[in-house]
Amino acid sequence: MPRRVPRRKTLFTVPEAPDAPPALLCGHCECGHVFFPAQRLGCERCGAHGDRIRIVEVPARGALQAFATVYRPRPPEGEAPMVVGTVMLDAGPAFEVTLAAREEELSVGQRVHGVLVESDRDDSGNTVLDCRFAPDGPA
Amino acid sequence: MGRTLLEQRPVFVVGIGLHRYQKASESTYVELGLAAVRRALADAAVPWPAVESAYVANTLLGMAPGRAIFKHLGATGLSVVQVENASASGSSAVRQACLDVAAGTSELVLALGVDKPGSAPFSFSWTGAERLSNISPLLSFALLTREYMNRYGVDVEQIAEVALKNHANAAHNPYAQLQQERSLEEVLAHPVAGPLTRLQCCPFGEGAAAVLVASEEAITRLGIEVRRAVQVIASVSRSERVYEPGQSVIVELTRETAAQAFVEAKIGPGDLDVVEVHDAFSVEELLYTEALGLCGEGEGADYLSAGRSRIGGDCAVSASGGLIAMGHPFGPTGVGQVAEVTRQLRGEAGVRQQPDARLALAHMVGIGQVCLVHVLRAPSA
Repeated sequence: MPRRVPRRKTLFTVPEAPDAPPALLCGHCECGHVFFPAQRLGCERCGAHGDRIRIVEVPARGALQAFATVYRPRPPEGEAPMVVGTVMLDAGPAFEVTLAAREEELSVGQRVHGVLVESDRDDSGNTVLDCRFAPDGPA
Repeated sequence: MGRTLLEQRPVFVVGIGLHRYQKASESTYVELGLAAVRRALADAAVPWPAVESAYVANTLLGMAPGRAIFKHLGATGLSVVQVENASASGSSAVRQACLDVAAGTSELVLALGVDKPGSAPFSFSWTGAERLSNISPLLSFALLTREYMNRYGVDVEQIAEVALKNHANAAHNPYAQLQQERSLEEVLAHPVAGPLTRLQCCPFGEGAAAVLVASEEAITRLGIEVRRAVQVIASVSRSERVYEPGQSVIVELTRETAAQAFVEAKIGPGDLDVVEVHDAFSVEELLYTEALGLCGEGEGADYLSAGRSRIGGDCAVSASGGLIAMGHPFGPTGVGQVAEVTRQLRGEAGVRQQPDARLALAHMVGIGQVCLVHVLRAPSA
């Protein structure tokens, strides 16, 4: 039975319900530093490693700091039209994402959330999912 | 704390030489490197056997390219070491050369940067770390440009003025990859990502730059012209720390690296006459003129449009054309900056000359995570 699987299983979760939002796997060090992507090789702030870093599921929710249309993406980045952005998660870390929206639908400071987008199929016929970000709709 | 450069033996740049930065060509890196080294030797009027040690900056050539170049100058047995530090490789080679002379290990040392676009991948792709998106440095800078525009209410024309000034400067630099003055319309054409256009992104190419640094003993013994010897009065190399969310790594890293350089050189940003920064993308020059303290935070665009960073202004920024127009062939770039500011401090920069240039600073960032700053002082009149 084909399943829905994440492109990078160390980065985000794929909930059972098809429309449920993904969670991002962040590192939470005992020093208080929260970072994405998660790893236990060592905390960038204090150097603690291994079990002193917990891997935590953080809601993929945050605010859009900046966005830009990529007019000529290079192969590994994606295909035009493509919009990229910087998202600051409510949990702290800021990082760059691909947006599932057109530039006209976006504004700085806007609330955004993670969405799972089908990208392709793996050898077992599973649907491989990418995590992108989209603006929160009207409640 | 160890000793600063000024607390050790004085170090002087005594020779500079470049091979023009250009699109990848049929020339081998050996030919590019030889041209730069021979010009630096001629500039200093010293023979090759007097060079005791060499640091060779490159990022794309693979293992030990230095020897393949130097064997054609006569194999003298000098020490040869390759230096890799991403975009800042050339700056790191200059720093190693300075430290070698300052410590008294050598009297005359070469820093050579040479590169050709090749197939060497970024080692960061081998760390095993996975990423949510394949976002290149260019896209990161497009986003940073937008953030800057939003924060300070700056428009695309104001950002583009950086490229306008630097392309105009490079038009008079025979070593620049792009030697053509451009109109605002031309700079704003060909969008790449967000507000960034083709002429606001540095060209990558090939080239070579060489700098010879010497002790006072070498200057005396080899009869080098003292009035053309430019002293290096600070050399600082740092890497990133963890900054607050929302703070830009390259800005904070530049701020703290430059602050240390000013303390070591015993000068302030207001004393600078000539500055070369890592302006790989137009917005960077605005960010760095602020982080260096040439102007206040958020004042970068006004500082530029008031003409204060033009040749003839308060402090000429990227009189060479900068990375945007002189080019950014990686290994040579940081060495080429030191060659440019040396030319300026000697008063030999021709139509690009900043009048009465006494103090200069060269700044490079590597892969957004390392930063090098050098401060140089003109020979006494």
